[in-house]
Amino acid sequence: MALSRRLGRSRFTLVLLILTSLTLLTLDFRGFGPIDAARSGALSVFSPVGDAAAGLFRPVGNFWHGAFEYDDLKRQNDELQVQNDELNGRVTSGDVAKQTNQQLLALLGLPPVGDQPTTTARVVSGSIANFDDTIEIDKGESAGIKKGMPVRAGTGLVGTVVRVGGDRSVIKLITDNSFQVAFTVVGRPDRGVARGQGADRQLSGTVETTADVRPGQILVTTEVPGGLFPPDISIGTIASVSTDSGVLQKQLAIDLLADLHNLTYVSVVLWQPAA
Amino acid sequence: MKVALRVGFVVLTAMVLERGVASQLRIDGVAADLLLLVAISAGMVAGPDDGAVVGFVAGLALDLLVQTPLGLGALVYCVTGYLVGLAQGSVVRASRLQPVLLAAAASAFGIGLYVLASLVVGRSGLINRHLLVVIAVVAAVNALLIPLANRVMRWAFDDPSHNRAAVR
Repeated sequence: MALSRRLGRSRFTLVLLILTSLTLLTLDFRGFGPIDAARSGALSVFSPVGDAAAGLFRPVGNFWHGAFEYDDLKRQNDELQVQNDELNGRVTSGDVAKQTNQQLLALLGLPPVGDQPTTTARVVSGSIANFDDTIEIDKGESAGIKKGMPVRAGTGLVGTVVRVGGDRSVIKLITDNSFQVAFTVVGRPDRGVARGQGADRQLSGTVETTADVRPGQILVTTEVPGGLFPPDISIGTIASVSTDSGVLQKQLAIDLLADLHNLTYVSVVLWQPAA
Repeated sequence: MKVALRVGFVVLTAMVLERGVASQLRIDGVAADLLLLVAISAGMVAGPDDGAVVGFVAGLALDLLVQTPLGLGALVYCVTGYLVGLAQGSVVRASRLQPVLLAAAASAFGIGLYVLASLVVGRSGLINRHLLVVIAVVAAVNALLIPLANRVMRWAFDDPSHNRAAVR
């Protein structure tokens, strides 16, 4: 008798808590303002405390990474040396092309493109939980960062700002399952949509079946009405193209240009989507 | 009141350690889930009722730290805490290994339920080979840490000698 009464009370508590969780979920999906404010508050409060804890345990972390990831780090370092040399060459030729482009636009009386103002921030934390594709940077509202601003790292799009505190911001990475970005193929009129598929995985993309797309082509953001990104931020290169007979679209696998594993500094593009 | 303050302190400490330490010390890219450990430990030490409440608070704390929909962690961890409390209450003769095995099984269940709930709210792509690694690592770490977590939780519930599992 006592057992069933206790079980009944426990079930009542559980049902109450489940209903509260579902209410919170519903409010969050409907964009309830105070929830966003609470999360930004938690970011401002816990980031410094978390940083202090991280600083305290840094020697342990360094030992941990050294012990378990030494070979990977060495290989990455070698690869980065090669990439660095290659990129230095590309930067030089890119600067020349950019200068020529600006001169031609000036001659034609057209406004310059692709030169949005940015602010550079340091990545202070990676993903906190296991199913959360985010990073945290050390700049926030005080540096002019606002929710929705795109973030890039040198060569490519990294993600978008999803939460802003006083001196902190959280960036949702481009690989997150809920991430979508409209793209255009460089030198082609073809447009499509790229989607994140989870950490450490390529992006997936779709274009019309009539689009002339081939592996190796570079994809950049494109401006669409109500779009979330300014034009001409590079996203990645097409790794493979497949056609599904069931749907009237070509499926793309996209390799990212930005290396999300080695993010130290990122640039937040001070551009906000139109309201 | 004293118990509530102590439990709050434990959850806050777990939050800070998750944010500052566990997320940095990853095994094969997987971080320990200390807030899930808190929910499991509360279920084990204090029974299904308190397990559900502490699980809810711990899950909500996780929701505030990450970008997943608010309420998702609270929902999953409160159910996990509750079920651990029920399972602990049904144990007739506890061995030294029993809490370890229960923590591992509950961690696997918690992660699985989290992924299923994520699917329901529209977060696809979480079911892949890496999920098995996440389950294995979180279960192993929580199994390893459960004796310590249970000690802390007994202190929080001000009940060092008595197991308050409500259902026996």
